[in-house]
Amino acid sequence: MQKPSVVVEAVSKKFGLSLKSALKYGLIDSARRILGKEKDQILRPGEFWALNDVSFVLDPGDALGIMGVNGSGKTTLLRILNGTYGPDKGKVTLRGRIGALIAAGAGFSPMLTGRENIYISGTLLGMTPAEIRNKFDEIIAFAELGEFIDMPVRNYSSGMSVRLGFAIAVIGTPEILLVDEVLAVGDMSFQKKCFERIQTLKRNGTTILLVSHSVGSVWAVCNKGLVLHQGISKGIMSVEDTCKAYDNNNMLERFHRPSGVVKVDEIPKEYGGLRGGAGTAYIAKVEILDETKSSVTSLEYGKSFYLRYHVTVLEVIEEAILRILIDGEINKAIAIIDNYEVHKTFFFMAPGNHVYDVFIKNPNLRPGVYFFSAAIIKREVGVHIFFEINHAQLAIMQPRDSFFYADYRASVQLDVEYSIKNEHRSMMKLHPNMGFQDGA
Amino acid sequence: MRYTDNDGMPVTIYEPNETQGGFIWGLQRAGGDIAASKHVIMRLFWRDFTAQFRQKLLGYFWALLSPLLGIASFLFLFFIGVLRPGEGEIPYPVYVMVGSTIWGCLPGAMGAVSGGLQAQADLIMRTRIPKVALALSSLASLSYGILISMATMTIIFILTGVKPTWWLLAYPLLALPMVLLGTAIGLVLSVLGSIARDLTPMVTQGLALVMYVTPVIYVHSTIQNVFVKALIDWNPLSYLVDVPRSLICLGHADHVGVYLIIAVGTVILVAIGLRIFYLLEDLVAERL
Repeated sequence: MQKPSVVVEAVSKKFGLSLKSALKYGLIDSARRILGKEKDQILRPGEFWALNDVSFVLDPGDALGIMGVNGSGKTTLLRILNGTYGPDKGKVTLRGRIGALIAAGAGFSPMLTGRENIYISGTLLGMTPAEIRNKFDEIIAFAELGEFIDMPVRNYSSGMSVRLGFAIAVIGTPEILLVDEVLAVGDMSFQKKCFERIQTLKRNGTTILLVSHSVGSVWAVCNKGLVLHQGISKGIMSVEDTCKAYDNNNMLERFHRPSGVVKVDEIPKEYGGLRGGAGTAYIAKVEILDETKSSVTSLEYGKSFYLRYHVTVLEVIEEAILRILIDGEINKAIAIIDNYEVHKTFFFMAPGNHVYDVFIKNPNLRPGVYFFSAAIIKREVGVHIFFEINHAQLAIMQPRDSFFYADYRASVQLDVEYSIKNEHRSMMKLHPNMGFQDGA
Repeated sequence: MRYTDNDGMPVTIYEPNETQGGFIWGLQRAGGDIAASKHVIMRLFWRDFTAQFRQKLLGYFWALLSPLLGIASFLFLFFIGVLRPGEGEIPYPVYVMVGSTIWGCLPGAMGAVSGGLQAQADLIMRTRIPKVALALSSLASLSYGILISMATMTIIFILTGVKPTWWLLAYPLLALPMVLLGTAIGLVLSVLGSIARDLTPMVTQGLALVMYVTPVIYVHSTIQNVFVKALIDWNPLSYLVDVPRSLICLGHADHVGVYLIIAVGTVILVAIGLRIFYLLEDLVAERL
């Protein structure tokens, strides 16, 4: 039976929140240990769990993508696996030689030549002088440095220096490879070469642990995934579920709850702010409701929803327009909803409190955070009766049954059908579940 | 913990409190770590040694020039008559040069080892080199410094017309207790100094004061104050400086027995230093 190459058992790591507490607890811990006492495994005031009870097992040839928003504990986990930090609780067992792409370019001396630095960095990564000599030409070829190998590294461009560091780190053949967000180095052809090298290592049985924010890199390299959120992990998942969970966490992290109920005396009578208007009618409150009319701040991709506007009218508006603008995080004004455009009719707004529900059916908004702005407009008047920018937000989460990864900047998903004509074969059609199939 | 399993595959295990062994364990672990990192230590020394002489007019000559310039300041004070060290068996220029060279091993070793981890912070965070190897790698440059100082001593002996004894060749061995003492203090400071940043400057300042109760630049017999005299007599460092100096310059020395006992004591201190180092080493990376 194949023995696992990485076993992480209930590993936890805590840190002090401030330098002051780090100093205080550092001295206390030092005294405890010198007196022969064990590590304090409880959380003390001013400390937090950077990693809390994380467990997983990997076999040779597995590639694990570790994802999480900033401060989720990814780097702490990688540093524990690399032996930089000791765990406060739990146990890590690594079987095989460990290579670390976090260490690309480690120990480079700018005054020395590329050739000399290959020996330094190679040694620091655990290669013997004989191993370095054997791999020397391969390293130079991989780094594409040619005649520049005898030039001092300080005269290298940043790309050359990174390529050399990466080449030294990647040419070894470790059983376990730790990679931290460094796959995006050099130009496109070099990046392609790096990915191919990693895939070769994987095929030859190297276990890869890749920490990355890039859904594309993780999806390309990994067959398993681990999401960390505030130091906690739900264990190993499929790589697509990992990317989706990371994307969803990331969206909720960016999500800010909008303001509450608006009062009439809070409405400035001028443009320039986030809210304003003449004051004769205003939107007191906005809610986003799912199909069961429950209030929500996030929805799965494709789900229909309601925008509910609580409108207070002080003076009658005979030809009123309720206009809603939807902005994405990157793309602005991706959609607009205007009752005259939709129905060719105006609203009649009588004095009093009214609730307007706007049902948005199958919105096709791709995963991301969306911002809603609204305005009440009177047809004959050239100014807004009321406007409020970004008064509601909705996070659209990754769908359960498909995986959106191609480009986070895109906002709208179109209904598409592929058909491919081949000279020698009959027409191919995209089957919803099975990929391309012969459609003849 | 590292071992090789039945399939010949290296296995690494990280657990809390894995460095809770005894003193012998500390020495064994240090021995193992240093042996495993010998290429790293040599390569780091070679890197720093080579890099410091690149793009300099005098190149490698600086290795010899720097210690000579250091001693020149004392000699200047002596020749203009500001410093009156008293008359001894050894001519003063030779006395102060040999004394200060031996003394220099203590702050030299302490500074190298205590600063070793801070200086290699990048390597601690990114590579898996044992931390003790990084702390001790700076001692490689100290050992080359000791060889250089043997050359400078020879030059001073020739210039002053004093004939050194064969003990000069044993200088690295005679200065070893000083290096070991500096290493022991440096090991503790390298870990504690990264937790409380002002600890190393405090000890460095303290050491400068201790030098004044050690007969480095003055002759012991010239001290009249009974209290200071007693302090010098009870100061173990007095013997670590005086005995090697007398042996090198005169071929004989008093208190050789005391010197040997203190030398054994410095070995024990290194063992204690290593023990404390391993107990606290994982606190270092969290504070770099």
